[in-house]
Amino acid sequence: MSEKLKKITDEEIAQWQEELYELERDCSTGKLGTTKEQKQKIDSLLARAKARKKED
Amino acid sequence: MNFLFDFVKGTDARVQQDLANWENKIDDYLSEFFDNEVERVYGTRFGDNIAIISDIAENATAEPETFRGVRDAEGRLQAAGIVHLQSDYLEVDLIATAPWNILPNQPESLKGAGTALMEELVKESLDLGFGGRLKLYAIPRARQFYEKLGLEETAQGDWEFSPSTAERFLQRQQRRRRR
Repeated sequence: MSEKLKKITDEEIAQWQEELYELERDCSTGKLGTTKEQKQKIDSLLARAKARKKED
Repeated sequence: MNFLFDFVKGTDARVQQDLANWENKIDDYLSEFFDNEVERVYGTRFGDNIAIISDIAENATAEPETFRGVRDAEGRLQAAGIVHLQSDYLEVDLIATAPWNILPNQPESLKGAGTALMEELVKESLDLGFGGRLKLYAIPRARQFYEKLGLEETAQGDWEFSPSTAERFLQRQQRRRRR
């Protein structure tokens, strides 16, 4: 495998990095559950943030 | 250590503060970009990110030892995850990039955090004697990223680094840094 990797040029590594960085905004992942569950998660987070801001 | 990023293991008061900051920023962004119309983010990249961050924050509190993250040179948390140790691999339950990395032109935004976190998790898997093996569940919009990293889809629909693909990823990262 190392031999195989050596055949990859610096330019290809640079291109791989660029493509990776373009895709990285979509790295967030995990089991999201149903649409209803997703909404509940978002609502929970916003409720925590708003409560925190109210305390401040 | 990852040159640009510091690896964080476990939830402490600083991590709690970082995650609270993420949540506060999300609330700000909803006002700034979506006129506080929450329904507009459901099913979007930003909406998925919020739902996952919500899960990470809850897990980081309930099971502090499962938290992982990377901080940039400014000390800002740029990516976070939740992991569980299985018998012969590291299970990555959740991964999220910081909310400012999702939206355009945010001053805190930084490229490379998600990749850096994955690199640290592979190294942790090696340290645990798992040979770099790890598994995660990739939502549809995340599959291209994990495929580009070198993970492979299993018959069960998970995505995994095997010892050989994990090694290849680490070698590429080393090559990238030497350039």
